[in-house]
Amino acid sequence: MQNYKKLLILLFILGIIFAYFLLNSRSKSESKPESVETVSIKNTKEKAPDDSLSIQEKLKKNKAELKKKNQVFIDRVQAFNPDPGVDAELITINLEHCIMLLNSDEEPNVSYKTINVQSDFQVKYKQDLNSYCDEINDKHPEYLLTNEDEIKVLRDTLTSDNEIGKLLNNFYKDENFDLETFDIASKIKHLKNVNPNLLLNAQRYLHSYFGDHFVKKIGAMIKSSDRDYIYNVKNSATDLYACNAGANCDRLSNMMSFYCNYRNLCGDDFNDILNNKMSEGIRLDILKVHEYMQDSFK
Amino acid sequence: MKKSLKYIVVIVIIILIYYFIQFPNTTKPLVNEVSLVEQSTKVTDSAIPEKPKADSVPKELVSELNLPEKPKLEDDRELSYLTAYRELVQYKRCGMIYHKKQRGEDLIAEYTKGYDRFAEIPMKPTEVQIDFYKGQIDSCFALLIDDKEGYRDGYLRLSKRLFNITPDTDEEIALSQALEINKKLKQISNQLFKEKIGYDQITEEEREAKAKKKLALYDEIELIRKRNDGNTTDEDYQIIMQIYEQIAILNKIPDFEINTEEIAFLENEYTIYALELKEFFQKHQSPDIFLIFAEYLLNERMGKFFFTEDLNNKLGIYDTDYIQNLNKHIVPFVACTLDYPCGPESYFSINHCIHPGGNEAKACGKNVIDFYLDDLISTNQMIDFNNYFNYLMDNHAKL
Repeated sequence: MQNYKKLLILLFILGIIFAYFLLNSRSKSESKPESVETVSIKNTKEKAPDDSLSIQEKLKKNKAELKKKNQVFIDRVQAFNPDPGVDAELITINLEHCIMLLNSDEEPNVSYKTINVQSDFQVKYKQDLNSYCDEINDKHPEYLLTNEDEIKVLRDTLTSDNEIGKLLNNFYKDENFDLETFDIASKIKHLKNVNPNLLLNAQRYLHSYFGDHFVKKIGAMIKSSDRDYIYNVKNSATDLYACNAGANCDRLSNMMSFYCNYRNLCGDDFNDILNNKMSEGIRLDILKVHEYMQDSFK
Repeated sequence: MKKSLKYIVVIVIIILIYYFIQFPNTTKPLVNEVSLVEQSTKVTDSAIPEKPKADSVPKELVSELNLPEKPKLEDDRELSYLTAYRELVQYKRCGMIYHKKQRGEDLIAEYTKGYDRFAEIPMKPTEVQIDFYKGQIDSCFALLIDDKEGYRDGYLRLSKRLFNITPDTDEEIALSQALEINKKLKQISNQLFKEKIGYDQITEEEREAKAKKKLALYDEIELIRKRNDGNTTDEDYQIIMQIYEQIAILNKIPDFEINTEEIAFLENEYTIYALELKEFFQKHQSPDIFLIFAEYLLNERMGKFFFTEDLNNKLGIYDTDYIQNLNKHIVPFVACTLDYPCGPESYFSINHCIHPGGNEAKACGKNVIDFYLDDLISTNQMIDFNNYFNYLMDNHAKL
């Protein structure tokens, strides 16, 4: 009888120990950190049902579907150029600032940092720009300003089987294209003839010329080894060149909105900021490089 | 009955032994480890506070560096307050080198590989640049007490050392006072930052969870960028953009309202101390005090407060990009003219020398002022540079 009692106590205690281990192992697994679901993991998860296609293939497929769906946009009234691809490029060049404003769900003043450093010119400019973009969107639905994706679809219709298609598709981006100044001049002229606003993107289309090669040339020309400064001068000089060649450089244009919003260079047009908002030293260097470009692209 | 009691006691003891073996320290869930790291790096009153960061600090800061064997730094040598201060400043400048070494990177190989990698035709550093970089690494490692010392430990050691030295000369006394004002400014700046991002609008746990998620996302971006030998494909780019969107969502605090009253109060406090620092520099013109002051003088926010109007109206400079460009050069230039070490072996000179990009190698072996005047600044830009320099000296250096 006594042995039976002992056995019972022993079993009871063993039961307690077992329950303790069980609870302990469970609470340990609960205290493990919550795993973070990263985009890659998410992507892999999302990929699961259609693993046979790579992401790039899927993108192509999506684009094709989107194109099919939006045939109406491709066949729409053109805004700036009969070629839908060139048209889309020009919409972006001219109105990217409005596309960004109208497609953004952010508050107009995005971060506290910009609130603090905005000048009165910039605050006023932003208000005017908001009204301008709303107005232009109402007047010109063919600009597709609230349809960012459709503009991309149109842009993708560009083919490289003609010169303008080659230029806009950055065919001359590669450094190995050792284009002579003569070739550059003819391509610049071509861009200007199609639409002077395309010159605002000339640096991108003709990167083989405007890249490192041009930076070094400017460095030697103005006698500076400060790369940030050289880039600043180079970009302003090419913008000045485009403006003088007939590109849209009005106060509320896309190009000028960049200068006003991000650099506090607000003015009626580019020549206004060059003469009234830029200090003497940098202005002289911009003019020097601009003169060189004019001579080279004659 | 007595026997069964014995059994119970024995078993209870076994349970207790098991418990202590399994959990040597009072257990904390793993999730909190990150927060402990963060807490240890938060601004404290005992050290010169660092700039307020977002809500995360890399874990690596508190772990150990894996450095080669080298002789111990003689920490008990007699140091002047000024030398101790400059070594502390140098230590902070070495942060990236310590961080890279701690990640097990081969510093020279990484420098050569990463040099100018964003240029269209990536260039390699010259032998001279590599030699100067090696020199910089050596001088950074010389500040560590041994190969086991972590970055933060070293920082605390050098801060403590500085505060244990009594400033002796007038310059040193002034420097110690400037550091006090700087400390207050940093505290206010930290509070301002917290108010503006809504730091206290969410709980510590929520902050930790967000920080942890963000850290994981940033790590993921780094991994994506590194794969394919650093060439980001379109596919990678899209994934990175999606990750940034996730980070942006994490940064948002729902229903957050800015406390404008509190912010106005703090900004006023900030202004008072910044002006105090300015007056202080005018009375005690040392390069070290200028470098402390410059941080506020040229900071975008305070830059606007101090002299945006003057830059616009007196100097005709409105371009914020260009102001930053000028500031980057004017600070070392003013410090050098106030007799800060600016020879060919100095931090500012080596920093230019090893910096990637075009003709920067021209700085190697030159003193800073010569490099600026001979190579860095264009003849026309010198007009703006000169105007700005004179303006700074006339308005912010003289009483």
